[in-house]
Amino acid sequence: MPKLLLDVKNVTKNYKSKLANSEKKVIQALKGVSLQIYKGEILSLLGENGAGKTTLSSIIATLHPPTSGQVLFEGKSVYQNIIDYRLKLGFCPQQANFENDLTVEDNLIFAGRYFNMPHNQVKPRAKELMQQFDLTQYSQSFPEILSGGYKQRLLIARALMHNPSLVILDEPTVGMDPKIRRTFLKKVATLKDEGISVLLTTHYLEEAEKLSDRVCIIDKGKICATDTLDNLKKKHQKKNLEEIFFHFVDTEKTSITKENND
Amino acid sequence: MTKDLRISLNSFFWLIYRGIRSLKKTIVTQWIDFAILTGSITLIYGYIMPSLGLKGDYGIFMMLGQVAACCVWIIQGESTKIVTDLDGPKVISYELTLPLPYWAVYIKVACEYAIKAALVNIINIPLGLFLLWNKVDWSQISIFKFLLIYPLINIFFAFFCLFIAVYVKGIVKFSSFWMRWGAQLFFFSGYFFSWYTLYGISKLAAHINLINPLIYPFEAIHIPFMGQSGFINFWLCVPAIILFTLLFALIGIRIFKRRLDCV
Repeated sequence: MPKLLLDVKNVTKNYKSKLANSEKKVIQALKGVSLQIYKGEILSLLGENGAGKTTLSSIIATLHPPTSGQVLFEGKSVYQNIIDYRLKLGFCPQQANFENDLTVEDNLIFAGRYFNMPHNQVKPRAKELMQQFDLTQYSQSFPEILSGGYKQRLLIARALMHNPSLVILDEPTVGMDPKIRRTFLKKVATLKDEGISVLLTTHYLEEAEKLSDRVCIIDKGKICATDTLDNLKKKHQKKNLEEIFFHFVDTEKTSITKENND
Repeated sequence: MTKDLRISLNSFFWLIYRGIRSLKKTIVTQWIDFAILTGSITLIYGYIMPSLGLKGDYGIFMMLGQVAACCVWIIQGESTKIVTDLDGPKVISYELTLPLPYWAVYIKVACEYAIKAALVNIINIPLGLFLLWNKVDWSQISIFKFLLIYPLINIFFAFFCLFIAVYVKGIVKFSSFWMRWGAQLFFFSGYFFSWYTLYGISKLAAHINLINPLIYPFEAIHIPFMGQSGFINFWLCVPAIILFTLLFALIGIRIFKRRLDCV
């Protein structure tokens, strides 16, 4: 039995949204979400736009607090010792948020510094990650000049700089061309070999199918199913992830998405 | 020192260092810019305006006011970055995932502003004194008071401008705030005239002006070079500056937490 790393228990998230007439409406982005991530697994969080994927990953990344519920890391609430938790966590956000006046190498070096890495380990680790993510040629370039795919690689490299045990990748392949996406996903798959747990939020079904040990389908702020792909196929008697996914998400939207895909 | 505190302080230090390091590229240009600006104002108010009947020491008065004004301008310029960031890409969210509490990130931003402003602006003091060499009453100079007040006013303006930046939503409202309110607070601070000058004209207006937080740093920056006479007591200005700094910091941190929904 793999070791439980992160346990999200009955998490809800409400936020106020301002309407055009200046009234405020309370939106329930997450409705009692429970989710477990085990050591060394890749868990894909699947859902349509607005399903609550980014809200959930932001809560796990301690960017935002939940309205209710608990997030436990190795059995302890992450809010009990947030500093210690953040040292074990790597967060790769949807939008690149680099320090644009620092070179690629310096972005990594400073990331290591922020996470209290010893002086003698910072440069070798930055070099190792630049090699791993094919960034060496850009080490002295500024992040602004990188293409979308390389920016994502740098984001992941930065998130991995301090050797975290859990990495959150929030829709890392949005806007990538298929070739770069393929190479990028291969890199993500190698993280598992290093014993790093990965929470991958995506709405690309095929990448979840290829990479994940387990998939979690979220729709309208609720978890619909979490299991291995084989178990889900057997349980719901479906041929592939696409069929499973559309089994759970809104049927009206399903037909539209299918039509568009066709 | 606990392990967590040590880790947070380490992150805080590196974030500050990283911010200051970025100043390396622009500091010489900024020194030149502010030296030209302060130099012109000092020469005009030190040598030309007295010919129109202004007091002979008005040049040094304006030069010192200019030092405080430059702090505001530098920090206001820096704070526009956070206004656009909070409205757009939220690059600051990266810092909110680092091993330090959200309020430390806020304080770090303010400290970075203060250090940058202090480093850029320091050139104005020797330059102004040099240009007004014969008009300075050297016997009034107190290095101790200057060393105390200079960092304090930079920290005050950093927390003041950052408070405005997180309180006002969007760059349009931010500019509007400075036009409608910021500029008025500035005009009625001690930039053009001391508090006692206003007191001589209207006691009521002068007393109302005591709630203007900018009056204290503008008054206090003059005292180490012009002496106590004609200004609010230096030892009243110091606690007032500290009090307003704490107030802006505490309210600013609350707004920052609410706007970014931080943990």
